[in-house]
Amino acid sequence: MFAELQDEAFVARGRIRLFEALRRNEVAASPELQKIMSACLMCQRCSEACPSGVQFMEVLRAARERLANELGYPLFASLVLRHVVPRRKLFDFALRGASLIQRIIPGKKQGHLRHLPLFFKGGKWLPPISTKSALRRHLSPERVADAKVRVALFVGCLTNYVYPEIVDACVELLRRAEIETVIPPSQLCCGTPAVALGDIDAARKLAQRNKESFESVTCDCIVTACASCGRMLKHEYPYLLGGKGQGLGVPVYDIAEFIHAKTALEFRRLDETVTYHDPCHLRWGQGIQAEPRELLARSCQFKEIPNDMYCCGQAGTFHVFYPEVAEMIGRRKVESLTELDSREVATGCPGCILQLNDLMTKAGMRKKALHTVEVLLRAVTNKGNQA
Amino acid sequence: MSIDSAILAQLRRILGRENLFESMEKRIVYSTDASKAAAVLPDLIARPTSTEQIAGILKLANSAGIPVYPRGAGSGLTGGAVPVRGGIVLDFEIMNKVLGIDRENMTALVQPGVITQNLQKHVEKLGLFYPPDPASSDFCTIGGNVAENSGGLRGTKYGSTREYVMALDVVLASGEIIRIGTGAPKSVTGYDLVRLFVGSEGTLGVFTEILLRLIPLPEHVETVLAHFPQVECAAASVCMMFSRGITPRAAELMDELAVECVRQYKDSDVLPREGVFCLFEVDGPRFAAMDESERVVRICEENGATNVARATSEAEREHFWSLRRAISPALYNLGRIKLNEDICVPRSRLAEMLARINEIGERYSLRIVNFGHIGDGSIHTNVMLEHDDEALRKKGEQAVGEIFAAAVSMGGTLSAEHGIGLTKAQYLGKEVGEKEFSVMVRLKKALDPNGILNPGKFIDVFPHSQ
Ligand SMILES: Cc1cc2nc3c(=O)[nH]c(=O)nc-3n(C[C@H](O)[C@H](O)[C@H](O)COP(=O)(O)OP(=O)(O)OC[C@H]3O[C@@H](n4cnc5c(N)ncnc54)[C@H](O)[C@@H]3O)c2cc1C
Repeated sequence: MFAELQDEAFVARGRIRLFEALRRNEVAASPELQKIMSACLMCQRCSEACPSGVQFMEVLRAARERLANELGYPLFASLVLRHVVPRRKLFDFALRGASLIQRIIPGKKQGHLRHLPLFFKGGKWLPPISTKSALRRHLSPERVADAKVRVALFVGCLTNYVYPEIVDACVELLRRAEIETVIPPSQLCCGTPAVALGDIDAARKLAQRNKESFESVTCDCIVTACASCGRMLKHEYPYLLGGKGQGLGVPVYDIAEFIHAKTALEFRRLDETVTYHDPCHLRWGQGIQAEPRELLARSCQFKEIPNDMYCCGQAGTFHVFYPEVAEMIGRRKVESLTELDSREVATGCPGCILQLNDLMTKAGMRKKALHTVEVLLRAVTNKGNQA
Repeated sequence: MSIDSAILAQLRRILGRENLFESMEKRIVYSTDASKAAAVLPDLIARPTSTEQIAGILKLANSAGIPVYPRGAGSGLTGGAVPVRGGIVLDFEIMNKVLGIDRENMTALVQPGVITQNLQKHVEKLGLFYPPDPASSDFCTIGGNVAENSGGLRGTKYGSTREYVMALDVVLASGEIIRIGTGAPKSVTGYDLVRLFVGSEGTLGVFTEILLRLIPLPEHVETVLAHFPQVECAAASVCMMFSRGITPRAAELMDELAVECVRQYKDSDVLPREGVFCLFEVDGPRFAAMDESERVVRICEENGATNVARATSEAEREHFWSLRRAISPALYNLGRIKLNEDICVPRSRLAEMLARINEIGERYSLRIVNFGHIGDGSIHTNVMLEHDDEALRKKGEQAVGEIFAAAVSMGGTLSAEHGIGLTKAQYLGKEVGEKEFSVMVRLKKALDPNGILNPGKFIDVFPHSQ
């Protein structure tokens, strides 16, 4: 972030100073302050690197909440977060509408939805919204005979509506590991966008509804294939759902973390070279970086991106409000990818998949981003030679 | 000294509106630095993009008597960039271009806002090496490094920033632009002004272009982590390495308390409960470095090391360094406030100095954590204060005063690399005599007669009252 703007106000330290000043009433809640606080990718790299051991996310959450309380939220976003997102049917309906529009808009790029806030800026193209969401696809998941473990899958919005195949892959992988998956149909958005916008009330409501939804099924743990949802469930829910480290009551795992630690799946190594992109919310947000790499190394010809530390720049709500900065950040990522000969970039977050595919298409690269589990599933079902 | 609308208009004309920050939010952000020593609001933040703009700003400020504070990344630990008397912060963050690399003569011409690590990575791709490596290298700037004469993790073998500065473009307080030094490898024409400006902490002039010396990138680096029962053994090992002809590029100590902090911070049972660590690095042609690292291992063992490990992979090397890096954040487990000093003594006195610090800590019943670049005799001593309390702070400062006196009595110095700035000004008299200080004051008067450059720092504080 700082690397692109070179402005002290946009580094964690500057924001922390500003929040202290706000608390001491040395400065008033202003649109400038809100801009400074909202222009953060929440990648959490700062907490990892901080020489003073500051947990910046806590500061940022508090700052955004206070600013939102005093200045209000972006109206449309808050309406959606408070009234549409908590109602699954309405949300489904809205997205089906979008999908319809997506198909009737005469676009140069068939099957892509123009991203609304960028409509006038040349545009980002979203992949098609799936005609059947993941939750609707998996209303009654298959029973797994003699399953020793039962996991509940937290799907997440982007996966649900745009990348349901990630859920298919998770369910299938777990089934092959003799694990039964349940997918509570009443689950909702995890609330990350609400926290990002400072609407802590809306986030807390979503968290409570999700808690109820997951309590209605019996499971040993919760697994998710979305890095941002995972970070949210692990680190924000205990705070939102009233302290005591409670959260959802059962352990939460990222899918790669879970497969790595709790299954003994056998992979037959594929011939393709695949590289891996670290989602910020997995690497910095949950400290998971070795697990997906080890799994990939067992499943394909795995290659690291040389000297790569770059974020893709998507960062949830961030790229909607700061498209230019997001693009600048993303460009570095793409540059680091050009040197590699692999066709596929695996990653652990649907947001990154979306952003990387958009960036790579724009750069005219013939590469594709996909979820780590999709590669793993191919290796599990691989009938070819054992490398 | 107030900034009136006429001056503001001229500044806007020089810089353009987007590069002049005036809002309360920005003023708060630029009011302090990593020392957290003080926070004073500047009136404006100027973000120049050229030497000429800087000359224009200084001319204006000089005639109106407005203080100007150069600022790199604000990572300084002695309050050097804090705008203590209000005025203009001259922020170099966007003057951050590498202007050219001369591969044949091994030099780099850079703007002051270049982030140190970016330069390092840039030249390493070309097989060249910029050795000064402050632990803050991924955010501090070359301009700040030159102004503080920063040292760092490789100082034992490669010295401080000073050794690599060949020439400087400097804007004086009057707005005059001077060019000092030369790209020639040797030169004795006139006074060595480059050495005067390096380490001048923004009080004599503003650097706008810096010509740096580079060297060939060493082929190979070996990393060794040794565990000793006491600090004395680590200090003795360092001395023995030198006497046997080995100059390690790094020798980083972590004393008992530092290890304990990191153990808690990393929640790591792997780290032993007793003893100290020292991290060594040697570099050079592959076989030479490997041979030297074996000798380093033997020397550690001869001096009573209980465990010595050579990194066999990049991952392992990274793990060794991660212990060292964890110290800074981990320290906050011991106290909210740390009085962080960077004394340096001749190598042979290291063990004695560490024992003295220990004794001072016990006498004041304060916890003092020591770590740092002991290969060049420097020790980062951190006096930890559990909370922010006037009486406790006084006590801490007294202990620091005694540590400084002890260091000077052993032929050492108050500051190896962080500078004097604001936080150490009160102690300067312990090392610099009255006559010597008055020479410094005369130099300052000659170059900045109106005292507009970085006022309120050591040179403006009379330190001989105690
Ligand atoms: C975690 C951490 C670790 C550190 N480790 C080390 C270490 O190992 N070794 C070490 O030596 N230091 C270390 N430091 C201290 C600090 O990083 C150095 O002093 C660094 O050189 C400061 O650079 P800066 O760009 O942040 O300068 P700033 O803090 O912005 O400024 C420092 C001084 O330089 C002056 N200045 C800046 N730019 C210019 C210019 N262009 N012209 C004239 N004057 C200028 C300022 O006025 C000020 O007096 C560390 C700091 C931190 C926070």
